[in-house]
Amino acid sequence: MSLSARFAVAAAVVAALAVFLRTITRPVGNASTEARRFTSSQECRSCHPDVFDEWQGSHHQIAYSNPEVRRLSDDFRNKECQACHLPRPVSETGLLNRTLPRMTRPDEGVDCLTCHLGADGRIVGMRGGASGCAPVADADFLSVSLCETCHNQHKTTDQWRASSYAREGVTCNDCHMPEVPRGAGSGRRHVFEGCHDPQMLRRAATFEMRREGEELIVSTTNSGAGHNFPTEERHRAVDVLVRFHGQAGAAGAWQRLYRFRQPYRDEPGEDTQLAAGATHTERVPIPPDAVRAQARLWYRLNPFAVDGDAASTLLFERELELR
Amino acid sequence: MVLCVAALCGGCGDGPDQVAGTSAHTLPPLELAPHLDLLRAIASAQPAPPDEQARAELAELVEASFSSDASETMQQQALEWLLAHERARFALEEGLRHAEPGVRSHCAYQLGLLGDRTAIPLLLWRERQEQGIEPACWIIGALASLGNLSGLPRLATMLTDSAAQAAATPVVDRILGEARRTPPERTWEALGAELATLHEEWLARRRAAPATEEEPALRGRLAALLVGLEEFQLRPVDEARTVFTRLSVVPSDLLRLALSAEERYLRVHSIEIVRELGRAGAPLGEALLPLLRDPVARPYAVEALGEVGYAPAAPHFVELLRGEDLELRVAAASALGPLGDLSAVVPLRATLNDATTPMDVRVRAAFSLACLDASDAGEGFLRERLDRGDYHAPTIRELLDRLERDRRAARAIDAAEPLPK
Repeated sequence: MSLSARFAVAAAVVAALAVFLRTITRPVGNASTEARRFTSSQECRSCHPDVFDEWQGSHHQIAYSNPEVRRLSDDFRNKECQACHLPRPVSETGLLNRTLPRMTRPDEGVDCLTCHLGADGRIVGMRGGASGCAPVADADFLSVSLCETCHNQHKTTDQWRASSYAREGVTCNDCHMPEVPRGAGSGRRHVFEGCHDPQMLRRAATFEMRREGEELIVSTTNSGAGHNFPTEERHRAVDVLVRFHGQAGAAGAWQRLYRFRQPYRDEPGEDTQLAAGATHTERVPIPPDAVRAQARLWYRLNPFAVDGDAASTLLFERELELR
Repeated sequence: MVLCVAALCGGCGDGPDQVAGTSAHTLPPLELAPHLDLLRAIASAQPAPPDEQARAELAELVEASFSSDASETMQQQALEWLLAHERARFALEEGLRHAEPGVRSHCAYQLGLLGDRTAIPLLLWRERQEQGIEPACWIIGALASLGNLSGLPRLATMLTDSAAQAAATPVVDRILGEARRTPPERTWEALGAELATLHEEWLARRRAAPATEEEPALRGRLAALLVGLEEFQLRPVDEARTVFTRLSVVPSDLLRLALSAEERYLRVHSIEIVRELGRAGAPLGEALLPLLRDPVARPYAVEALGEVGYAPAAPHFVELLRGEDLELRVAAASALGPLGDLSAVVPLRATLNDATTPMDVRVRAAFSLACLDASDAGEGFLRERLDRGDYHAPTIRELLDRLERDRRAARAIDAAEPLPK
């Protein structure tokens, strides 16, 4: 055997020995209690492609990329925003405590590990199992407290706690992560529909218009959200608009009757968000020459959005013949 | 052969007493203690707000002094009484939230004249929140009268906006007059350039020093801001960061307490404050170094040590770059460039060229390399990511923007101060 061939054999033996040593010192078995520590949502994809695809493109996934958020946070130079938009796992700081920001995987935003990585490094979920990532069932996992870490920064879970939904045990997940079929069983949907979903928004409110004598009565009810409508602050607003049509058929200009919104920080004004189950009614005198009235309820992702732009969603439109 | 085995086994696991990826023996010990109550005690040095009746009287005086509804004689008399009142500062600070922009402007102006530096933190916060052009100008002017020139870039920007020029001009004249500066010509550009120069000089003078006990109310107010870091809501964190990173004299004693606090958010967010201070936070580098042992705070401490330019941290960063903890590797790769230690070029280049290294680390290594190395390898790598779209584009753009900002600043320094022969 030549000298180089001997070296090659020796190196192969050393390599095999090293691999063996690594194997015995660091178990990587599927169901091992010393399971490998997951470091990226990409690792979840192969076993949970449907869940991964739902999350991909969700507002959790784009939390650190969304141009609207980046603009409001001064491109995350307001570093504290990063704690919720690019968080380390909730388990690292514990339920009801603030998360800390991470620097890795910026395109994953609020990722699988944020919620599913347990304190001991194992994966937690609704149900336990011995296969795949060997998830451990965790009673706290689906609790409101898990969402509260970030979503109570703007008091949304406080609003929920004060509502009848909390008393009746209807939680965040019942609306925002509904149960869906998964294989032979079921699981939770991971799109996290909220204010960017028109259907979800329309389920949150009812909007009515009627006439009482010479007045138009326009009512908005938070009939479907388990928190204020709109919730969050600054960026979200809901506007009630009306206009009248004259006898000549010409439509008047749209007038804003009311705005539901919480003022931002020291901004003057009252918090007019509509609490869960509450109704707000506006009365408008009907002009003498009006033959028809129209009312619209718009949802604005930011208070500067105008009718018809991408940040505005028309939720309801009502019409009433007056003559 | 032994070496081969060692190399192949590299990263088999860290001993329980070892701080992963760092030379634990060379780091100072981490000594944390509960400091929240101590800061609360310092914060209690602030005078209590006046009672309900006194507040109402003071609000009435503010109204009569500055409201457009009051007659001139009444305004003069009311202002005299207001300024003679022992709680004048409190009344004027409350007036910064008045619904009328004119009242807010007057209150800011008077706060500047009053000369009580206790108002600085509140003025800094209001400057950030104020949307009205005129009140914002007068708040910036008041801060300047109290020795804080942090608002000058905003004022300079206003000079480029025809809608804001009229409101900004009297404040600009006042600031330049107090600084005894006369621009070569009276154009918006020349005034803006003079403000920019003044701001640069102010930034260069900023320093970290113990908060003086001769101003207990100011010290108390700053301590109260740090107490807010531990709260659940992030709003107080924003407030504290906004104020501390715009102070002329950063209270190093209070920040040292926060950095060595057992309370984790107090510790982590004060690290963020020091990071944002950049070179002005250099005296706090020593207090940051032990935090490389802190399992919660160390990635943030790494970044902050880089930004303040604490050179003794460099060897630890090079080790962390090769470690197992991805967050620490990314933090170290990010920090080596701003730290400015040229010995890091070789390990950074090795990290950048190793295709097996996670992209998070390579991208940050490229950034740091671009900070340190005149060749375009680092920046070229970042631009390639942007072209290929294979890494988070906003992060790449932010890093490229940072490089451009730093280079612009360096060019400005070179132009201003030619190197001695």
